[in-house]
Amino acid sequence: MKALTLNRFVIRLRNLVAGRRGDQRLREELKEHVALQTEENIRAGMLPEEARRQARLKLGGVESVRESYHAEEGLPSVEGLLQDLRFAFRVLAKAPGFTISAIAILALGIGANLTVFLVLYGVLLRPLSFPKPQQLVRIERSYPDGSAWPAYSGTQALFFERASRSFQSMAAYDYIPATANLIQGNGATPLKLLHATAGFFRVFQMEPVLGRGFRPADMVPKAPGVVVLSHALWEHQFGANPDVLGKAITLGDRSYTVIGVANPRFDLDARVDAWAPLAITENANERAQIYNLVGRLKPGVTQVAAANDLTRAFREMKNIYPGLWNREEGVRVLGLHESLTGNLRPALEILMGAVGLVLLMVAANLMSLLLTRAVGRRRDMGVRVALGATGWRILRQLVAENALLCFAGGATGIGLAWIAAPLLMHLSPINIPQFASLSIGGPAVAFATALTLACALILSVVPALEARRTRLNEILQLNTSRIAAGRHLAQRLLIVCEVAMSLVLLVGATLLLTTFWNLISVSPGFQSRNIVTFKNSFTDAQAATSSQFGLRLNELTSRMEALPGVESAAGIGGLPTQLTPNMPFEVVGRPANQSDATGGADYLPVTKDIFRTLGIPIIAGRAFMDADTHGAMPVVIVNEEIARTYFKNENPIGQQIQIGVGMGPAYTDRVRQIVGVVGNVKQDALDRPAPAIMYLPASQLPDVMTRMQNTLLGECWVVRTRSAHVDVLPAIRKLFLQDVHAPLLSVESMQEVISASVAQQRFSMILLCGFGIISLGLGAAGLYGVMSYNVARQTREIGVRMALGASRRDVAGMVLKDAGSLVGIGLLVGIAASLLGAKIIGNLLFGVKPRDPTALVAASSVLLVTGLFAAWWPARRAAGVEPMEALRSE
Amino acid sequence: MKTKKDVQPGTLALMVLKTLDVLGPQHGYGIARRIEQISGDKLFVNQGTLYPVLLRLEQEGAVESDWGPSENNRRARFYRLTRAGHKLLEAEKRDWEQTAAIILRFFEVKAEDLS
Repeated sequence: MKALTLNRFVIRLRNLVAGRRGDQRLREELKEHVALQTEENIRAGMLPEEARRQARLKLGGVESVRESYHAEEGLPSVEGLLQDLRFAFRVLAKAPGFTISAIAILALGIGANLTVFLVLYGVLLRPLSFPKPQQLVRIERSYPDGSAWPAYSGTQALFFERASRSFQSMAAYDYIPATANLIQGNGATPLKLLHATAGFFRVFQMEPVLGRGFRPADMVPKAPGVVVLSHALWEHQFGANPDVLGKAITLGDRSYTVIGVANPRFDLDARVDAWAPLAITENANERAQIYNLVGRLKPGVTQVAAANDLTRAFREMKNIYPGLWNREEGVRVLGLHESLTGNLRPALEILMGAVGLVLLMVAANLMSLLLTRAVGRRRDMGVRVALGATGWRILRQLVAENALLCFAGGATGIGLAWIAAPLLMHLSPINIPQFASLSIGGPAVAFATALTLACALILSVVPALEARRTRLNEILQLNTSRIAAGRHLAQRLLIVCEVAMSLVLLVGATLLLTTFWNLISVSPGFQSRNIVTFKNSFTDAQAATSSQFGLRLNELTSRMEALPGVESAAGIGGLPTQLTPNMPFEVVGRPANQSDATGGADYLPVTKDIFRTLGIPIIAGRAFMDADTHGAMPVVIVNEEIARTYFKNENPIGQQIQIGVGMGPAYTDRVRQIVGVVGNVKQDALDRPAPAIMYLPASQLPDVMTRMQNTLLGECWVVRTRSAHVDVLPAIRKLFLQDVHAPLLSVESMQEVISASVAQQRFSMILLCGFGIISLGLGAAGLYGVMSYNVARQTREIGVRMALGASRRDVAGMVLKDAGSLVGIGLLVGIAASLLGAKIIGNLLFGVKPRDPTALVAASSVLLVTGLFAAWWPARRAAGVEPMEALRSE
Repeated sequence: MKTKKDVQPGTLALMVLKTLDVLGPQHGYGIARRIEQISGDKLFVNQGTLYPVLLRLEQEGAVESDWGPSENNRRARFYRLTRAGHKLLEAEKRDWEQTAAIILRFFEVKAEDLS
């Protein structure tokens, strides 16, 4: 039986595809049938005429026989569907205005959603490319106030690795990759070099594709240097030559043997060109917190269990390394993926919410459009019902039209996203290589398809309502220009919703715009114009001792200042808004239990002219001088924040502080005298309060700090030019290559540095403003459509009113009042929603409250004006109605 | 005019198969007439269902058809049972007999039989 059914299906499918019809055969068979019946009737005694008539009667309606015959012949359901689609295509092609606007609106909605989805998916949802990524965790210090700090000292890291029980493997690596120059012949290429412990590649379960990873023996201090190259570096600098294994390369002034080439998919949170083993051992005096800690959990161990395990280990450490133990400190374990993307999440989630609102508005707009259209087509539908179409059949037809629209809109939307997503990524502050690639792959297409289907489903509510109303008489008798009240209400509700959603988006956009404006107009505490910045890294030998290093910096500074076009130049440990080390200090002569006896502050070794170059005002005391050399009295210049916090009622000048006392002997600095107080600088970020900062002459640092500063951060330089139009860089490049054999890195103007620091806020602002504008346009278009339709519908009523003496002003006023009431209600709903949802956007804001009344008023006004503008045209049309014509029409 | 019953849906195919089995190749009109005759003119075969059923049986491979001369030498389409048709007839017949037997037992059941 089954075989027979299948066989039949194949035949029918073939007939369908080939368009083969057995009409001719059936007609002949029926003709013969009638002929035979007639003959028999004649034999039974009928007259020939009557015999034929009876035969025909008995056969019944030839058409209905043909219909059911044909139904057996092909596949009627598929055929019906194709027919529906063909018909829908014709209907849509006949109304190009409607079709194009509907597809454009849909494409906008779906394209915008897909674009944001791509970013969101790429950053938040896509799993890391390591095996079993859910086992990978980052280990951080946590403090009672809820804050956390990711960096550990090497001793702590090694102790955790040894004492914990819930990890398969654990590894520590540089908090920031070091910069080292790859020396090849006369050329020097700056590389990012990451030092990591032996377990590093094992933690990620991604051993080098060529050669080997690190072994514990590589970590022994003074062991011969080995290095694993990144796949990209191997391809670009070594021509993907496998013979590179075992070869020696020079990084800075050290020689390393290449032992492996990493997997091309090995990407963590920043670009790294090569990995070298970290030479650390457990040492009670080694306290610099400069290493990230990652681990791979044993199967089945939860993050909570791991955190408990580490907390236990941390308590044990109290006995072994009391100096490293801290009563306040706890251990936090969080997923690696979360730790890499955590700070981007709130902004991206708000974007997703915003773009979802845009999609809802798109749906509302289209529904409104469809409703308007449906009313105009009711008589058409009535005729179809009269000709025998069932409600189901009509529903199918309308759904086919919607499906076609949505399909076209979805396809166009994917196209839009394909263009927009790379642009967006270009704008975005996300420069994590792991996440940087945006491609329209399976998940994106699935997402777009789901959106398209959802749209089609939502839109099908309209035809479903329509199909329910197929009471024939009513429709055929009903004048098309009058409609039922229920329909009217639905459309008005949609407009109110659109206005409300648009307001929410606009308020959000206004808030972010204000935030961004506040950010860029906040005074950073220095003058950023005409300043060029760059970095370089010195070799370990060049940065071996502070006295030599300081001399070298001074020499480079004075040679740069001698260049034409350069007004002043200075070296600094970290550029404003970028990473800056932080060190603890003690105020000399205060009882240890007094709260202002100790503190922490940003730690910036600088050269003499830093304040002049950056334009930081000297509030009290003096700037650095040539006399502040290595051998001279140790001095420090603090900023106002330190003066205000620690020397409230005293003169800070002449006071003494000692830096790094809590960090072990190697880091403990000499006692320094405060010789100056300078203005506050927003060193951390523009949206954060100015931190406490200590500026020190680079030549007076403890040697270990100079070495660490150089390996971790390199040296930053700021050069003030005499005007914006001089390009001093070629000369400086030449100078650095000649003098210290070092290429310049990250060459940027100071304004670019600042601009880059607010990239994330700019990104959120641009997107949300974009969505705000789109939603404004959608809302205006929706209002315009509904009001236009109302005016057209009320033409006759307007005619009557005018005939009875209403002026054109009255009529226009009537339309505007109607529109105004819709917008007004929408605004009220939107304001309520904005106030309720204010909390969500709270932590993205700077210098503006989430319930800022100005933002609410501004957004409302923009929306109101746009709404009335959209209603203005229909109002004018209403005012232009000629009463006599209106009354005669129809 | 005496009332004639329409053929019950689903049973027409079986009747067609049996007719072809007993009488050999037949054209459509012949099949309709024979069914009506066999039923003692109590059944009325609707041509609107007969020809689609024939087509379906042909698509399923139970019958074959070809043009041939009719009684008065006009062209008519003759239907013939195939081997698959024979098998189908047997299977359907068994099914039908089983169903009929079950229904019959239900009609004959009395309250005391079930106590």
